[in-house]
Amino acid sequence: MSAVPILWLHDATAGDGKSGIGWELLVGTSRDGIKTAYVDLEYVGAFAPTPVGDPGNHRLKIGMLAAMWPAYQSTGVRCIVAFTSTGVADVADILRESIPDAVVTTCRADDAETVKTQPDAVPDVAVDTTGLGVDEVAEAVRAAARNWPFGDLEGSALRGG
Amino acid sequence: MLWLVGPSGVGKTTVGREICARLGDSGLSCALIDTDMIGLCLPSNEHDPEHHNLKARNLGALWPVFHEAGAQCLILTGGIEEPDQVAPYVERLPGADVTVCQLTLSEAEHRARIAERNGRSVAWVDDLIAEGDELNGVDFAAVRVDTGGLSVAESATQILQAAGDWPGVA
Repeated sequence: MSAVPILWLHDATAGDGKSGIGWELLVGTSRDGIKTAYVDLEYVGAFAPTPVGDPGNHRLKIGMLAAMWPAYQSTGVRCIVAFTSTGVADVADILRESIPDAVVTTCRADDAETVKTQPDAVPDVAVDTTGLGVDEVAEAVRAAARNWPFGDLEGSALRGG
Repeated sequence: MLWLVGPSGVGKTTVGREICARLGDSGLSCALIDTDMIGLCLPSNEHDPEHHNLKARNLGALWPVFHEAGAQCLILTGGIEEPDQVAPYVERLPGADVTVCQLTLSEAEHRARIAERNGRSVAWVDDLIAEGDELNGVDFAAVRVDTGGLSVAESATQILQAAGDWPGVA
């Protein structure tokens, strides 16, 4: 089986036009010839009332992403950019329950002031968005995540899909 | 299942979220899925350029996730532009009681509503208006609601009433 790189990108001010970062990542990786899915978990779905024991619908959001993976995979998708408003400490472990080959990189893209006032789960990668356009943030995210999605995954077996 | 369709900018997702929250407040567990958001991938396949097959499969995969969380009803928004696009999605939800509700808007109000979104080009707005005119001319829903002059809350109320006090379960 091939690795499935999943970039879990969170931004505390999601919904403020910054989901464009995720879109830029999608365009960038597809331009590199890597079929990519973009899942904006703030907009895919909603559920009311919030389930007891799942404040913020975190588990539900992860469940939504996992549920969609088989269909995406069958169309040739090889990696996923997931965009949310919050970090989830154990997102990688939860995702691997459903997608065993998931290689999850959590990334927080926020301006320094927001990070200071709204700290949350510690990400694998953090990008300070202060003064950057969405395209610049997307480039910075990929670079900080070691040329995501396949830059740090060596070997033809991983790249072959 | 209530499916809100209509041109981009008419307010499908905003009103859908209002209905979802309102039902949630009344004690009914409600899920909402934005059909436009469940098939985003690049590059596209030649045999499914608009991703309808992919989105229909994802709809079928998502409903059990919400159902397991306790959802009793489902609101879908967007995703289709022609009557014959409904069936492939509904087939993925066996047993679903589907009401399609078409939201319409006059050109002037549609243009004003789109203008509230920042940073869009005139050409982009013109394309949406043209698309809206086209969609308004296609009658493929059991329920049609003109949202012109209505607030989000008023639109939600009109839609629920027009759909027979949807979802109609206690």
